[in-house]
Amino acid sequence: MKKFFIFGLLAAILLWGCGYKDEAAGKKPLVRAEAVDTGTVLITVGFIQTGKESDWRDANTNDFLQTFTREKGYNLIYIDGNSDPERQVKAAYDLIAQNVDYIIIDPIVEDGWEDVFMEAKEKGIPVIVSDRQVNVNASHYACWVGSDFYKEGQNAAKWLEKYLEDKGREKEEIKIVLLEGTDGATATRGRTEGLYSVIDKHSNWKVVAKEYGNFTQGEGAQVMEGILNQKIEFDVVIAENDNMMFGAMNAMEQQGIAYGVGTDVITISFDALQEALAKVIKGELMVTVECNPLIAGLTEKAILDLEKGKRIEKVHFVKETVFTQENTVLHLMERKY
Amino acid sequence: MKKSLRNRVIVLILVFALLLDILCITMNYRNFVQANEQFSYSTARTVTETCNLIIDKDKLDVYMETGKRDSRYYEIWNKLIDYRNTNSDIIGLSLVWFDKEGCHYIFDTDLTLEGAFLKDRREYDGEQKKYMDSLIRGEEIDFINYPNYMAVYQPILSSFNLPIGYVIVEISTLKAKEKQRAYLFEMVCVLTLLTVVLMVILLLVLNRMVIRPINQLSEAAFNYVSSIHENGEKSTLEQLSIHTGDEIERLFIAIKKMETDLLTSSDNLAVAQWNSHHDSMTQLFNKRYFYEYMEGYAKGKPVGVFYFDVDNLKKMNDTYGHEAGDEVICKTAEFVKRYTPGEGGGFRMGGDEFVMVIPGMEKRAFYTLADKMKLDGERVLTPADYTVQCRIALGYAYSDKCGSLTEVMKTADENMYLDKTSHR
Repeated sequence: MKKFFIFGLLAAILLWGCGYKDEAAGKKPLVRAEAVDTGTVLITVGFIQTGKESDWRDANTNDFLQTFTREKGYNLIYIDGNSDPERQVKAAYDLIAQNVDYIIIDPIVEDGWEDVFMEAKEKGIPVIVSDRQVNVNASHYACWVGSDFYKEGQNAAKWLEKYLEDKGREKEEIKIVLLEGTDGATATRGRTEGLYSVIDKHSNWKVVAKEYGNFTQGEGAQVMEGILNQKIEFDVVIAENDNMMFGAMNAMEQQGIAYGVGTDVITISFDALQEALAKVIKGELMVTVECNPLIAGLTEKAILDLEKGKRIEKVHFVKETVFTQENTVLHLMERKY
Repeated sequence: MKKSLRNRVIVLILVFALLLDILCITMNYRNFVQANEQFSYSTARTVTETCNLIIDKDKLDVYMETGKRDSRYYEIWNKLIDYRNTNSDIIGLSLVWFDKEGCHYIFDTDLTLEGAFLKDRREYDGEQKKYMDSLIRGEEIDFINYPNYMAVYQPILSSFNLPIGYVIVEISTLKAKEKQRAYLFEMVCVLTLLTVVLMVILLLVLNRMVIRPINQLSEAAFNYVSSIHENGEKSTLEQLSIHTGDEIERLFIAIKKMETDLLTSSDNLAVAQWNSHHDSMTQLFNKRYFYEYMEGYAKGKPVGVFYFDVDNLKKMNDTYGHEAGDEVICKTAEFVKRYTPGEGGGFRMGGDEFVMVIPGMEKRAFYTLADKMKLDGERVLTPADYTVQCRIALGYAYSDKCGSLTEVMKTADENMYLDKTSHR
């Protein structure tokens, strides 16, 4: 009798437990909505931006907003990725769900795009990757548009080569400090490789310090401070973006080290921000290699070619300039950003 | 003692403490759970209200109807995700409207593959079904509790105050439940420990104050009975000292007084009893006791009886006064006492009449004793120069198997008279 009672109790608990789990499983499945017919002659373009992290990015965003206008026959849906890779992927799925004509993506990270690109391909929506790279088989997207970081690095090093030649220092030992961007980032990799393609040709050029500064001014200053504290001698400072260079300049100022035109320290950086150009004119920064944010034009060209059914190249590089004291004033007058 | 007071007190306190413990725990726990629920609810509520503020309500209709998104749509979407991210407990934040088919999404912040897009539909779940009519009409409803989370519904009204749909915030209650479990465990431990400690202290105090003195008292009171018989030096009760200064001390004093009273009265009783059995002048047994003795006498055994009488006692009294008479009587009593063996008893039957009863004596020994008594010069009680001479007249009888003591007594009496007359 007692045993029966215990068994009964156990069974009741078990049943209750199962019931509990069933309830926890909870939500009913989603019924997906049908794709919307856009119903107009406009070309619907979904643009997924990384976020609003820098002036460069804002210039890039504005370029897209001003290029894909209603007047020119586009319905641009702009989506801010808010520096959140997950949001970018989800937004891409959302754009596919509403059956847009084109998707432009500025990816925050290179990974995690495979599935969504496949789905877009299945639905026949061309994807154009902009600015940064993605770890996806190139056949899954239409093309890539952006800066040639390798060439930027190469251009910077070539400028140094020529500068030293002009000064008659080509045989001297040249000590270089290199502030790299973020480990593994497309820009870091491209620029470093480009720089080394020239550096390696000169046996008298020595990289005496090489550290990551994560593209920020704060870390640029920190890294430079560390190098100065180690009493490392150097002739050239190369920062892989302007912001890190600004930080490095602060660090050098605090230690009373002069830099720029007419001093012993040659300063080279990348991006060509407005502030950087001002410093170039002042002579504090000797050269900044442009990373052109105005990619919308190239992108539009690719879309127009696709509309016409043309085969297009996989990679489209934007035109970029090397800014020195000589050519900056001229360029500044016609620049949009 | 079948049930010790101590055990009963322990059980009582145990039960009481346990009940108190359980009561404390349940009440405390309930409050905690309610507070938790309230906290989750208000957190969710804050988010729903913020969302309600930022939504471009009149635009929602357009999204719902056409299913077309624009840049503004994603701006709101981004904001909603940001609000959702303000609190890690919020596991869901969506904008929906309801009809008979179920819940239609306008916005969903779920970034996984299960996340909904605009116009996606989900059927009512069991809990939602209960509120179906209210949900379709866009009325305010309370939160809905699921096993692992709580869903808070905030109606959205258009600028014309017409219901559009709801902001739904799902807030996880897992952490809260974990906290509740930890709290419950902690509370059970602490409270139970506290009750046990209190219980032990209470027991110790009770034992010291009540149970031990009572046990001492009762033990002493038990021993009092033996002490009264032994008539010992000091009774255990007297040796005991209790100075609790309360009811127990009073009880102790009362019992002690009772003991002294009892002892005194039993002394008195002993004296009275002795008096009732003895003749006060001669210290021999009296007549009353003789009758009691006769009643208790076992028949069928050998018995010997002596009967004594003093001659000329009346004359002695008249001539030399009562004091001389009394002296004669005392001497007689001494004579009787001297010859009374351990198993026998001497009685003064009244006036000058004495009896000695010796049960269980052998016949030969009895007659030897009788001869010895007859020849004893002490039988003459008065000095020779007295004009009145007093002598103890004695008669005796013996029976091997005594049927009636009275018979033997009678024979002895008759023999005594013979002795008396022969001497005159």
